Amino acid sequence: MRSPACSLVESRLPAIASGTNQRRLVARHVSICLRCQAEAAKYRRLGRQLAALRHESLAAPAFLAVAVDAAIASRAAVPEDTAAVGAVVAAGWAVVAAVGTVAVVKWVRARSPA
Amino acid sequence: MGVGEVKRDESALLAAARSGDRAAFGELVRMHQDEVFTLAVRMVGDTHTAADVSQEAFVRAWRALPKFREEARFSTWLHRITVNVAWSTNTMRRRRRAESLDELMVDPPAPGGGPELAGELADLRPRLVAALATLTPRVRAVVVLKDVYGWSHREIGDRLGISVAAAKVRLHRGRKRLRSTLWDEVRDQ
Repeated sequence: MRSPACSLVESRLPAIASGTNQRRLVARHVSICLRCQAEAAKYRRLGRQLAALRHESLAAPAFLAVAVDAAIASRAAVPEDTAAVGAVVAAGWAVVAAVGTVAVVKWVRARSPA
Repeated sequence: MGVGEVKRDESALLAAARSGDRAAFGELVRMHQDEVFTLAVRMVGDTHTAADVSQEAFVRAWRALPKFREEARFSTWLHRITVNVAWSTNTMRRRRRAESLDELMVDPPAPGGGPELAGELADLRPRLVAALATLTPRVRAVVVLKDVYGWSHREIGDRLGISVAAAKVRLHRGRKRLRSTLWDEVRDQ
């Protein structure tokens, strides 16, 4: 028979799946209630079975490694540090070009008659 | 090959890959592709999307490789990237459940934990995997990361961008739903 205590405890039983629900109220009620003991057992079993899925290994598609390599090549995906170095070098050249252009313009203006 | 030898090999491959050696990275992909794919299947619920997620996770890992400082295990780092990719995959929420139920039955289980648990799993495993597929992506992600992979609520919250409290609520809902799906179905049969 389902009592008010069962209803209260039932809402807390899912935490038993990972063994985290150690509250005295729950433990005391479960120890004397067959119905809630059965319910708690289901959650413990659920927790064990979910944890056991961790030991399963599904075989990745045979083409995965080739597909990864192709994706890296097609995106010209270089490691980010390398990309960052490239960006810094490009920025450096841009600065040199800008400074050079300004210097040339000033030199030309300085040489031309007022 | 011993564990130490594998680690040495992995370290050497990581060093080579960091310097741009794609062949070395390809070896790392082959070493870890099954675990990454398995995590992706658990997160997104179907093998086609999981293959895309796995591919993208490895490409992102390649790009971020210079930032990997080996403070965590390479596989742990890969798992985090895979979870990020799976979480941001829009198709995860749009997948058709009817298709995924069949696809999730791929490969027989290879459970650990002794013959008793193996027998228990053989009995309930297909229904458990199917029940997982009925959860919403947001709830399933939390259940998979907490109950299958053993992540803490804080790690889950950080990775999925939700609060610890939200992670706990989703876990609670997920477990209740799984319990109901698994055992109420049995009673109904």
